[in-house]
Amino acid sequence: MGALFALVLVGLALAQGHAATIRGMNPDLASHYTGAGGTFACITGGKKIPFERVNDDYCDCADGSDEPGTSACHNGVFYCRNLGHEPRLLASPFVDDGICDCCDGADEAKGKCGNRCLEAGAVHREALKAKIAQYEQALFTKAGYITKAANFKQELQLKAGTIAEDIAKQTEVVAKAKAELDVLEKAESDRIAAEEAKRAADAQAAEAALQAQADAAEAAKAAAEKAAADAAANPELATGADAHQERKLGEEAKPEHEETPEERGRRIASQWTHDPEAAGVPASNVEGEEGEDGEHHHGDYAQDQHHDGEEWHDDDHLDDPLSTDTTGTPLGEARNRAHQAQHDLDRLKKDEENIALFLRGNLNFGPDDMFLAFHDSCFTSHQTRWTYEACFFHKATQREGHQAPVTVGRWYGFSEDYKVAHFTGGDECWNVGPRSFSVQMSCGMENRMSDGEEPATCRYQAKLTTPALCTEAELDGLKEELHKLEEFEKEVREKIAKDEL
Amino acid sequence: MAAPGAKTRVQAILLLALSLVLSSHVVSAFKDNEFKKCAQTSFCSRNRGVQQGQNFEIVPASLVLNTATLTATLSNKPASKTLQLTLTSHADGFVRFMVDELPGVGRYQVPGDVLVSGWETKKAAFKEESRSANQIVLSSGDARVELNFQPFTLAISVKGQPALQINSRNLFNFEHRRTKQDSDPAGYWEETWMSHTDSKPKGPEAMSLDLVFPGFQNVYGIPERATSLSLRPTNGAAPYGEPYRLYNLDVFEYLDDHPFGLYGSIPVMMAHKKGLTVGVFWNNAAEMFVDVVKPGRDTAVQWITESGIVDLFVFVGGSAPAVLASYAKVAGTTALPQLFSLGYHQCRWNYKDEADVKAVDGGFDEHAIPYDVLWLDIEHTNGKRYLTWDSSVFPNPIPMQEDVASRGREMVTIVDPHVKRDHAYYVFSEAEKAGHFVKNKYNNDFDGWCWPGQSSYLDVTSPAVRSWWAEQFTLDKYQGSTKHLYIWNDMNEPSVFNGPEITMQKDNIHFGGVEHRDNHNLYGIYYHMATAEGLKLRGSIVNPESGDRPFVLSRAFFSGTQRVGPIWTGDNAAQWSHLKVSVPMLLTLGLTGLPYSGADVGGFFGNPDAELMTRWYQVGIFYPFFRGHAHLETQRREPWLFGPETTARIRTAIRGRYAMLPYIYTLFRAANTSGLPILRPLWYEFPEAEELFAVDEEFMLGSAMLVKPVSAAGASSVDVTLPQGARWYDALTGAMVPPRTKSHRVQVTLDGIPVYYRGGNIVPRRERPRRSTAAQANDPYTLVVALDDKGEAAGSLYADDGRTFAFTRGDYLHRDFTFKGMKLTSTAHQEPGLPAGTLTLPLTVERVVFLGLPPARRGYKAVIGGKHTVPLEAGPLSMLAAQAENALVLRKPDLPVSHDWTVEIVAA
Repeated sequence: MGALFALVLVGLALAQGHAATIRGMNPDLASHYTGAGGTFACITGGKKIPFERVNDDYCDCADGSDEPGTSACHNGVFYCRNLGHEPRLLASPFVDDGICDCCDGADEAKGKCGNRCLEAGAVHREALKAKIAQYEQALFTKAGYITKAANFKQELQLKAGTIAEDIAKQTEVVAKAKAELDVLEKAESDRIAAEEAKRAADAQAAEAALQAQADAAEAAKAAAEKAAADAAANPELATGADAHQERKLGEEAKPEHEETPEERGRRIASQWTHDPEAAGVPASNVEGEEGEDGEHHHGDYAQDQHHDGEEWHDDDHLDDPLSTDTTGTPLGEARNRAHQAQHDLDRLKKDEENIALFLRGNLNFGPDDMFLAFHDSCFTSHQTRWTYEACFFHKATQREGHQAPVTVGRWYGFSEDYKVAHFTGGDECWNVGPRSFSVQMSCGMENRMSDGEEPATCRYQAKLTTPALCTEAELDGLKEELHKLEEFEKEVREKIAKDEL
Repeated sequence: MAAPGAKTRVQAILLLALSLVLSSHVVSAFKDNEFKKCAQTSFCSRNRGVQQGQNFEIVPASLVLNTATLTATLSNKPASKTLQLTLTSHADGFVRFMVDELPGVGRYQVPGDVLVSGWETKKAAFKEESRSANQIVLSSGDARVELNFQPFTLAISVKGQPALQINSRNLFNFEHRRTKQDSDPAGYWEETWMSHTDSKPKGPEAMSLDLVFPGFQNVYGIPERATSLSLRPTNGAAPYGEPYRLYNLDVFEYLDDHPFGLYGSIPVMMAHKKGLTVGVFWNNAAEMFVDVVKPGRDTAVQWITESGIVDLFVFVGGSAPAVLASYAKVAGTTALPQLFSLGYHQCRWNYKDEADVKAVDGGFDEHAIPYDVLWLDIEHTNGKRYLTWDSSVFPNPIPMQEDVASRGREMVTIVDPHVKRDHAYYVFSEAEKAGHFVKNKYNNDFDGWCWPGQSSYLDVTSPAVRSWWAEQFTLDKYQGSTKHLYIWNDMNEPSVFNGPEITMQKDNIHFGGVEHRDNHNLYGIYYHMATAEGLKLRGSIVNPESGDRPFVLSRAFFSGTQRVGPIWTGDNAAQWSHLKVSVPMLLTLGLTGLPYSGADVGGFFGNPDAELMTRWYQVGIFYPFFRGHAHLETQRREPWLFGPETTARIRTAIRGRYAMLPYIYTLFRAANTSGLPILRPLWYEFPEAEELFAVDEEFMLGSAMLVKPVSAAGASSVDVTLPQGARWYDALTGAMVPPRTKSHRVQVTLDGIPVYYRGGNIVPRRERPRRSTAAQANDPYTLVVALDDKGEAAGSLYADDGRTFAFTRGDYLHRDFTFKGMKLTSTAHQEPGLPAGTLTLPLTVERVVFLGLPPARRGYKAVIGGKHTVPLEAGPLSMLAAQAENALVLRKPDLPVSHDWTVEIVAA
């Protein structure tokens, strides 16, 4: 009994001894590498080999499990402890290949690599800190979207109850102001008309002469049109010499253009690129285009995001200073009053529209209306040949050079998790149906669209980063990760200090 | 009855219209009318099929035989003109036949630096067999030459078998220089093609060679074109009614089955029949048209060339290897490549920026797929000014290259011969100032259009321009370059977007007053050569002791390009037919001395699906040059972008390539020393098997492996021919497969294509799937010993530092392995004329796999070095894939690869 117990103890000690010295072994799999009975059983497949064949630099197991610490098996896995950083599972072809992969250098011969784990850890922590700072910034921006959306909606709410009434009232005000203005303008125009009448009488004689000339020209044009219509009705007439004649005339009008050497060069180059400007564009132009990537706004909502404190929905033309009469005459003042009244009415109507759209409409702006900020926003991404533009809640297009854009989809909505924005029912695509476009969205510091591909015919996609998709939970996760890393680093440093490594 | 008929016709028209629409992306691609046909080319149309050979007679009294050289006057009686005929017998296995005008006329000859030197003076005396009033018969070694005087004809036989006849069909012609006459036909002194007028100041000066290969049914060679290996007759249905053309051109979206000439030209043709192979090389760089017809049992060729002289080498060694060895004496052998360049190359037009480079490089490690070189196409430059960087996307090219190199890899940038006309661009301003550009006919710098817009073209036919160009590649001159950066020369046909047929005007003027007409086909090789010299120069500075072998890929080529670097088959397409034609294209290059070549894996234009991509990689791993590349507008297609199953298949394929590298590198050494091809047609290895003479749907890698590509979608089986007279072993399972004269059906899955070991060969391998060739450097070897019917096998292994020129002074290891009488031995390989290999590598053979040992009741054991004994175990043939353990394996013998040893196999 005692002898048996002792044997078991020795066996355990041996097993631990093996496990501790088996290079590249994943500690989770240590139970396979006890060396019990002097054999090793391949982890899958059931083949058994003498234990001394483990890590003997020859692959015996089809699953590569006998060589965790050498490169002998094509499918082996090497475990890097990477104390101070994070453990890593390395494909065994990368073991002893002269290139340091594990930050602790364990995948190469001793002395070859040095331990970079603490540095790697430090780099990793710094990157994490930067990411946290960015996240915080992004969440701040996101909070701004949400607050503004709420304020905006609240304002609309306040107006909603009385809007019909307000419009009716203001319509009256406009009518009244217009009536006053009409009276003054009538008087003014009568005065001008009297002055004009005399001048007009003087000019009449000359005009009559001109009219006679114009009539003659009109008659000639009508005759020509009739001849053309006849020719169209009788195609025979348009063939042969006549057609030739016509072409010649056309050429004279616009002489046939012999291709210049440059045009020929560009045409041949565009066989490869489909881009007439591919050959010979100065580099600076290309750089200029690169700079255009990003976000812009075709409407008022988002534009005003950048002017805090101003009301979001003012149309620029409503405040157009050029339309203000500054003469100070009674007529001028009446004009200003009428203009102001109309302006106020337009604003109310815009409010009514917004109330319909944002309060009573069925557009989904996401949780807390966080995507309301995207309303009327367009994002563009320039690719080598194509430029993609996504206007949220509206439509998406693809444009080549200066050609007319193709609509690749109209606003459809977000995916359930709000990570994809779908545009569907775009322009028809031969044999495929309507084009569609999807934008894969992820958390990012700023609103920025990138990429732009056609993974399947007439199915397009791009990527967008936006603060709207950043979450507090993820930030907390990052902070937690940083905290753990910092604690871990402290531990490792203490161990190093105590010479335990 | 009329109505149904009419309806049928309407349906037919609709069907036709529909098929046109469906196939339009293919049909519209190759712009047939952008390129000249014979009938639209004055020199071709005035000679094609025109019987005027009887005009030429040898003047008997002029005949002089001076040991190895016979000279005679060749008279064109109707024209009252005389020409000089020279026939020389050379010791390196060829007879040289030259016809020129009298000295002083100054017809163009290919400069000596295109070929190699040394062979000119090694002659073998002619023995005069007989002479009569109308004939002289000479012999030299196995060759017999019969020269008939009136009319002039020449017949060569080898070992008593007729090999070649000249002017037997009366199609010989030689247009002498003349003064302009009012009565001269149109096209003599000027011709116009699509608004380009060629001024032809020297008038007509074409030649027509009339060659008959008697009793030969198959001729091969005259690349480059996308067509069958055995050249089809050119009197067939369209497009095979046109002669084959040799005129280096940038052909947009070339077709996969067409006689049209592409980016490179090698004026070498080989004819083969049972018992005899003969080769010819017309050393001439002007535009050529070659008609092939097959009357009776013969193959007859009319070979028309625009200018220059007749300088025909006839290789009389008798076999394909002998013909190639002789040709290599003249044009040189394949430069031994950098080992990294035999790994996998990842290219795309374009990897956009440094982050993209990092991501793609990282993608290979993430998916554990080996690769060696990452390529940057034209968009990396500042406005297509080569040797510069677009700093908005590549602000830090040196750290980028160093990062890639830190994992044992290299990078390549593209550098093209057109130079943007921009005085602020140093390459342009320096070259302009020094007068380094090709001139137009008015002797001003030629101004053509290419990627950067208005461009001039370096006149690389000038040695001074070439050495200036070479200097541009030193690390201090090429800003942002490192010693890990190698070069890709594209567009060197040269491609001129607004020139005739997208190239340069023939009346442009080169160094020495040479017309572009005369040396058009040399532009590419000279540019390639100058760039490679640049990398050599850089290497000699970086490593003064041993240098650095250049790696420069070229698109255009000529005879001799093999000495400079690899070529690829240009802008192919992601179509099954293009995968298929890549094999005969590369086989043809191998038979014309340029084996280091490859086709873009995946196809350049268009988007391959996962299946085509998989099949292409499975074939591509056998291409001597193995690169994936894609057009600007294609979807991304790095190997891991087609789903996990496809990624795994591509990984297996590429890892298979790396496992074969010891064998492939050894084959390259044989190409380097003896001019032997890497990929070989079946007939090359089985020259007596007539049924194989036209086979180009399968091929041999060296003499030991047979490969059957799968080049059709959805294939679940393929027909495989396994030649008689050999034993074959499935290279995946090791199972012996009986030879079949008639092809037999083999089941295939997407996991692989049929590959076989040929009994009688020992194949060295490395079965650890490293990330790059550099990472394989210290790995042990595996030997696959595939026995023939006699139970024997032989093979060899060549290794060196893989990088420098140290091997030229003997720093290499070359072992011969033989298995005979149940003994496997390793001995030093001796190559006459080379320094003995002195390199010792501390590497071992970790595994020997025996295929074809007869069954033994209690198995076998190996006695290593006469001392310790190890039983042979059952194991898989390859360690790279999980397979049944049905091969006999010698486990871990740890045989030192650098030493002699013997392993005896005995029954246990």
